[in-house]
Amino acid sequence: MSLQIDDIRFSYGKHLVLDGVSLEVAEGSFCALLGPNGSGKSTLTKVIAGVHRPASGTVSLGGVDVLGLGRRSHARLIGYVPQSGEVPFDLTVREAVLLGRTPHFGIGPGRADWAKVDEAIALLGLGELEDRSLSELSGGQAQRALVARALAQDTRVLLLDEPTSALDLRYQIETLQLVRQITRSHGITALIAIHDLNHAGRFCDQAVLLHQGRIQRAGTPQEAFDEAALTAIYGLDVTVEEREGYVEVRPVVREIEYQI
Amino acid sequence: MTTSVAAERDAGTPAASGGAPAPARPDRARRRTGAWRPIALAAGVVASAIAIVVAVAIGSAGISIADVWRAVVLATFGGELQADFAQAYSIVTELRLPRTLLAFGAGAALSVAGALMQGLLRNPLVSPFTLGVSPAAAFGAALAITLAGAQGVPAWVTIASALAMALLVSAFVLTLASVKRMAVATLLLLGIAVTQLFEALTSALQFAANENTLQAIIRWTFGSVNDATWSDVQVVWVVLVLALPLVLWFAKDLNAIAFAGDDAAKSLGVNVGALRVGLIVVAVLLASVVVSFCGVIGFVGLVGPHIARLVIGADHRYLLPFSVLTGGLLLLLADTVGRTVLAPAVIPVGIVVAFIGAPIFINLILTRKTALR
Amino acid sequence: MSRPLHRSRLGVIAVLALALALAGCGTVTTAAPAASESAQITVTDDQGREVTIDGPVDRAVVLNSYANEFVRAIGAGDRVVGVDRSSLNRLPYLEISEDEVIAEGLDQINYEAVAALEPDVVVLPRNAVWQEAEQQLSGFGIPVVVATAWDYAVFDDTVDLLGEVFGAQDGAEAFQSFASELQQVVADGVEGQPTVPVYWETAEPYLTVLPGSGFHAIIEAAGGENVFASAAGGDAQEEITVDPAEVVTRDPAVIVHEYEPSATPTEPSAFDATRAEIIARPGWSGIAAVEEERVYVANGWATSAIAKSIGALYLATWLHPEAFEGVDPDAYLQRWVEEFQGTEFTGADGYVSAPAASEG
Repeated sequence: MSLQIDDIRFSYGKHLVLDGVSLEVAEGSFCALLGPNGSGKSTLTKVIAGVHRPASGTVSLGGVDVLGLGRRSHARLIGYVPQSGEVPFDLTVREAVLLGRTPHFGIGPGRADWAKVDEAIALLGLGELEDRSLSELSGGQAQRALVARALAQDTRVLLLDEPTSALDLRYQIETLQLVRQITRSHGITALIAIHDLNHAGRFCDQAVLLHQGRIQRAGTPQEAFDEAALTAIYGLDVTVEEREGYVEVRPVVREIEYQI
Repeated sequence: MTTSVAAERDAGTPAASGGAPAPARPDRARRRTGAWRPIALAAGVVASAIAIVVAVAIGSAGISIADVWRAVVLATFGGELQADFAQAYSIVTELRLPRTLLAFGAGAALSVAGALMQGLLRNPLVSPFTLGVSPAAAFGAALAITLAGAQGVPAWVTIASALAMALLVSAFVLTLASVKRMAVATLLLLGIAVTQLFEALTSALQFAANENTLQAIIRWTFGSVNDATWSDVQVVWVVLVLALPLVLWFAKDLNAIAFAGDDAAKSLGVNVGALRVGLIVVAVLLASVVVSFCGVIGFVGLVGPHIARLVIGADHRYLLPFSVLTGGLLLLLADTVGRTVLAPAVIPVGIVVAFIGAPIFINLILTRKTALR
Repeated sequence: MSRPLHRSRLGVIAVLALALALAGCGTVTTAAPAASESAQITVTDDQGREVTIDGPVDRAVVLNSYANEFVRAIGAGDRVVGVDRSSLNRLPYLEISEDEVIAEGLDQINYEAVAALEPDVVVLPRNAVWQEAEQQLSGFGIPVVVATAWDYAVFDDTVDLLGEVFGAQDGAEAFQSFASELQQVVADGVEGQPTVPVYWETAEPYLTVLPGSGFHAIIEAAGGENVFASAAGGDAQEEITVDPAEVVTRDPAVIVHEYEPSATPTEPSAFDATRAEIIARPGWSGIAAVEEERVYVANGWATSAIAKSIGALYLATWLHPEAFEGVDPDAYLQRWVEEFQGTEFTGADGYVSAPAASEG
């Protein structure tokens, strides 16, 4: 049940964002999509999630073309955690997580749905907060609620769209640890669009470097983080080192005389 | 990995939870299942039925609830009407019942329309009135009447004209607002602009109108149920009764759109585009039908859902039916107050509801979460 | 959890709908015998409707102040049991108490209050919500007659109609002959006179009248020429707000400003203040009417009475003073007030104000 992404092309209007992206993610692995702003990592996530329709290309899961599936079937296979969720209404954490069960029930949720909700809440450590309103939570807690929602959706694949951008360091690490743990314990395949190279290096099995809509490097972080490639992509000199078994990328900062 | 918590709950049968505690009490086990909601809803239905009966009895004609019952029984099952009861009978069956039922139905329809719009646009400040839908519908109705002139028009023509104008305006406002990503300021400002435009257009119609149609046109600018007839009641209630199960069917999808955002809703399997268009059409239909019979009534579409949300929460599976009750009761109250507080003068219901609704609207503006998109 | 909820909820809705549908399914027969077979009156009203009224009309609800004046004028005033507040405000001499007021104006009629008064007929003008009234009162068996007393063009028909409705044909005739007398006096005096340009202002500053308005008809009948006769774009009452500069350009010889009708006499100081304000308007000092001080102010109760015939008489005397030397319009006003309205006449200076220079 590996995730196969094949030659995806997508444009926003005239602007070509994804220019033939192909990728394979093994089942149960945690894959990071990296690249500067505009590289297409967020867009790719949305295409797989069914938010955008690609101009061409396929996405298959275990050989099944997921983009060709009906919306509900697709939603039962692939879950999506968006960047943030501003909710202008008062929703309890429990109700918010229940939304993840939308593709599973008819008019109203049943026992099985609530069971999944409670499971997800417990896993994310939100038990104490479950009756609190979402708007009362901190950024990190709210983000965990979104992850819980995607978990309650009970899918084979989990997509996360820059979930850590607005979080404190502690919550960033916690989220990444959590997702990694879920991939291990539940065998879920996770794809995360993320900025921080070092976090990706620390927690992910697979790293994909995107630049101008194409994949420049892919593989384990050790394989993908190539100094020359990173320098070309980010427009900045970097050094890549190994520390305690993990890859670390550091920018090379030169003293520059700024002409004023 | 199961949790121990799952075993405790009884999520399947609300009735099994026993009696109904007041929703405010933090009875943890009961609140978690949300079993109090169906009970609150049922209680609301009963309260509404009682309110309608009581409202029929209120007034200066000295009619008691027993009289109301007698009149209703007589009308439903037939029988002989005694001369001394004739006036009370006519008052109940020809005047009061139609107006209370129309007020309740109109309030309910506007409230549901407002709840739909608020969920679809993710904003508690929108309503058929604030988006300019009601004034546009009023213009459509007034236009039909003016063009028809002396012959008059059958009701369905008025409704169709109101609906057409309202749909046009909704498409216009929503399309323009989507350019600005449905930002609340844009929506409301466009609504204001549209409202001003159509109020001016309706005023302009008065120049073309002769004395016969003039009164009819002026009437559209404020809501009134003083001319309620049984056929008005039937049309409004039929539309309401057909719309409610339809929107309840999509309530969970509406939840996804309202609370998770367009992108997440799509990933949850919801056809966001089609659903938004479809439900907006239903909302506009509800509002147009009300405007066609009652004129422009503001605030109910805003305040009804707001109060419902305070009582029963934001989940649309409960919010939509409860909005029926809050909106209906609000307009019923407004009409009852309007025809008694300065009796024998009749203050139009649209004016009374503005007095109640405006302060609540202002409060809503001030207390809304500032982190709105 | 939700399925039983929805079924029961839908069930409640279904029951309600059924109840509504059934309402009125049973046939109801009236126990009381049909109204007396005595005199059934059938009239054709202002809208061409054939209306049948049972028996003589002893109790009537009449909306609109002009209609109430007419009903009083034909001698049926004592049979009016309910009016609109506007009528009561304008005509305090109507013997109507607060709880006999059944509407504020010509809409939002309190039908319960009307029914409680048990009238034999309800009379209202064509710009009232008569279709609604017809429908809402049909359940009580109260017929509705449309009679538009403010429309000067159908004065005779309206008076005839009211005469038939109230069985006061004699009173109607007397009223009509008084009106004819008035009109004849005006026509005789005006014959052969050159027309005089007039600017007529009604209620609001710069609100003037166009052909089709009763006030325009006054001007023509009185041998005048409405300086705005060629203008267009009036509202439903054929009234239009004009640019003050236009009045200067058109240079009327006589200016008349009429207040809304009110039987309560106007303070002479109020008349004087209005006149002073008009004369002082910027740019107006060069207008012939202002220079020669021919600015008149009037209370509409006098000048709009009898389909504005009294107004025509006053205006004629102002436009052609020499031709109307022997005619005293105040005397006609007094006859109208005392004979036809049956109330005290407090003197014409409470209703009509001529400039100090000329005789009143």
